[in-house]
Amino acid sequence: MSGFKLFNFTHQLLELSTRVRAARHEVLSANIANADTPGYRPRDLDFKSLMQSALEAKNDDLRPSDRRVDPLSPSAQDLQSMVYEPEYPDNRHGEERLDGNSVSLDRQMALMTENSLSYEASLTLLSRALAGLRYAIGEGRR
Amino acid sequence: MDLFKIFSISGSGMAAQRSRMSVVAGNLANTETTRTPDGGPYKRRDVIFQASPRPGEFSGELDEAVNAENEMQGVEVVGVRQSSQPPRKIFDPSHPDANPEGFVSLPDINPIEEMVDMMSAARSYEANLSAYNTTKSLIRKILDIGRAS
Repeated sequence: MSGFKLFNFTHQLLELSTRVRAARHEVLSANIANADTPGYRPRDLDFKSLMQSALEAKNDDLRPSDRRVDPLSPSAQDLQSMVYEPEYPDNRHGEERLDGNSVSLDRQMALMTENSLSYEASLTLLSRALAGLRYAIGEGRR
Repeated sequence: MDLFKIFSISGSGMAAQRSRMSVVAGNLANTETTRTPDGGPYKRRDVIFQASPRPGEFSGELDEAVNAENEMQGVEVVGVRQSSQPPRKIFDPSHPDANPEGFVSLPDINPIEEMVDMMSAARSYEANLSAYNTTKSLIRKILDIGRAS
């Protein structure tokens, strides 16, 4: 059982996932708050590439201290620097209003629902993983 | 980026929409107002929204300076603009505020436009409210993790 750690990669990954989902929730909330601000453009957080780099980090041999950004636990600043302005395909077809605002309230609400469900899914998985640990610690007693 | 900060973002959105709503209500109430403290008929008012960064409770000055352009932004009412549209004139010589030619200057307010504005404000308010509630349920969920199952 060499290299066994109480909190393994699954826990780290699930924690990262909930953190990124929470950060994305903040980005989407800001979009909704600014749905009527002239010139505001919606932003998003790239969940996929953040998780991808965490998965890749597992397979290389770098220690966390060798990296500028630890992909498994990025700081709030690192997350903030991953915020970008997505190019929605229908921006070209007049989603942008005359005042320069291109927030689509429906789209943002849909993204937010999707994001919060995924957040809950990550949390549920995390609490299952923790329940497994608890079960082991309690020698299998319930 | 912490979840509690989102309350202030959604809250700023609700506050902004609420002040927009009160300006619209003022416009609707004054469609026929011919006298104001400044003299002349009432002028249509409009709120000006501006995106403004919401500093987190514990975020340092340095973080804000470094990440100023990526800071999540709430919304803020930076002013109320008075319309410069000329008043509409209606011929009514019996009106006490009629000019010597018999025309009364009434504010240039289109009630339909105001109603549309009001509905849009209400929908945006609701969107912010539901974002707020979603945040709340996310925080609830995370508290459930510590609860022994």
